Amino acid sequence: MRRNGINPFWLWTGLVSVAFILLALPPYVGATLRSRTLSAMRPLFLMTKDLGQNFHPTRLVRQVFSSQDDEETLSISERGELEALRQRNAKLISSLLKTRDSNKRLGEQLKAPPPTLDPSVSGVAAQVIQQTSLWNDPVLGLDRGAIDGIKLHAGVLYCGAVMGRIISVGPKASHMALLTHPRIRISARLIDCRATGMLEGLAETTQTGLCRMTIIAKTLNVKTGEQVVTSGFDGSFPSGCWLGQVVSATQTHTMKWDVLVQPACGQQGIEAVYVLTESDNE
Amino acid sequence: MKKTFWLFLLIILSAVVQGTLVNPYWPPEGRPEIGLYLGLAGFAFLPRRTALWFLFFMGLQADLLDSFRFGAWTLGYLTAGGLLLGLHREISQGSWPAAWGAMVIGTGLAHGAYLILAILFKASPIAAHGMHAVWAPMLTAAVLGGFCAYLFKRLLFWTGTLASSNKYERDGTANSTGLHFSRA
Repeated sequence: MRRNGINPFWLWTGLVSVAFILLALPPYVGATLRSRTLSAMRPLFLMTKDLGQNFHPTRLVRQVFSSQDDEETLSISERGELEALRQRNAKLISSLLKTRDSNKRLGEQLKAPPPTLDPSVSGVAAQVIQQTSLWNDPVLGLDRGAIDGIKLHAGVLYCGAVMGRIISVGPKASHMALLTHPRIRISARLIDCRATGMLEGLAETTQTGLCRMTIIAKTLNVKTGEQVVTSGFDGSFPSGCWLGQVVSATQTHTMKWDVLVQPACGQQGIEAVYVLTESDNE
Repeated sequence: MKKTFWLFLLIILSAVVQGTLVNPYWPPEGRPEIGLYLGLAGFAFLPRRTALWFLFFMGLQADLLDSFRFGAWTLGYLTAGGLLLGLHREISQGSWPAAWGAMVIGTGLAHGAYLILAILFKASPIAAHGMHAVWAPMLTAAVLGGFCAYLFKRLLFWTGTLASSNKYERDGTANSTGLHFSRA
């Protein structure tokens, strides 16, 4: 009797060890090997004519053992159709959001009525299309320009309150500066004590968001919270348009007072304004 | 080389037949596994070492077709092969009924090992079948195993892998009925 080669028991032990090693491999390794082997054997499967064309062994087994509908059980064409439906759904949702935003913006425009105190004042509603993010340069872009009758230095209102002034005009667009802009000067009046002065912005200072009204007077009976309106002397705004309210008053010189004013209109949340086009004061 | 070539060809053909003729038309419960049947029948007709390698590669082809984790079916097949290795003297009679019995027992053991592995790896779709995943394939093997074993034996004769001989050799290359593994 001649025996050669390895003992079958040790061969079996070695093969079982190899099987354990294969079992310990990451799942993607097995999947890769499986897919490559099936790809290589696919010509053999296709040789059985229509049986091989419809054969998807992995999908068949998963369809059997899967307890729920899974994307992995779908065919390639079904996955493509599912992806196309998802993209279309995303586009429809985006279009819906844009429509909602447009509706809200148009509704805001309808909320910016012209001043009713002076019927001779006319203007045009403009949509805010650009907004700067730096507080020391409070400038907004509008979608109306010279074609629509907008002129340089024209006044801008929002819900009847003064918002700013046009600082540059193009054919179809323009820029406006808010009250807090350092280069804005508006003639103003204290509504109770009837003192008049010049309102200017404080954006370049530490008191961003406020305006300073300079009043030349020996005495000033100003109160905190007193309303400030336009005087109508500069020609850009009719008189009586609301500018803001007094925050504090300080006498800097013998004949000079600095009154800090909180503007009536802020920059946030404004999507449409009313630009004055004609004025009796011109 | 010739017998190695035929055995490897048999491995590939079993994968093709399993994938194209069995899987599309047989419900999953109790689906016959051609590779497992042939691998287990090999313990009745082939030398132990050859049968072990044959069964190992049949397990690999089963893993490549589909399994919850690569190597699970190989380990299940080898578990059955380990039992048959111990019973090799009893089943290596060279007759197809012995191979048939080996198929039934080995199928139950292989599927049982696969089920245990599925439970350990938390492959719930497979583990959910429970013992049904063991009894059903055993029943199929009991019904179809005889036919597969007979065909397998005829195929081995036709390819020359198995040849008859009047000389009895007990060196692990032949069985008691005189059939010996061809050295051609």
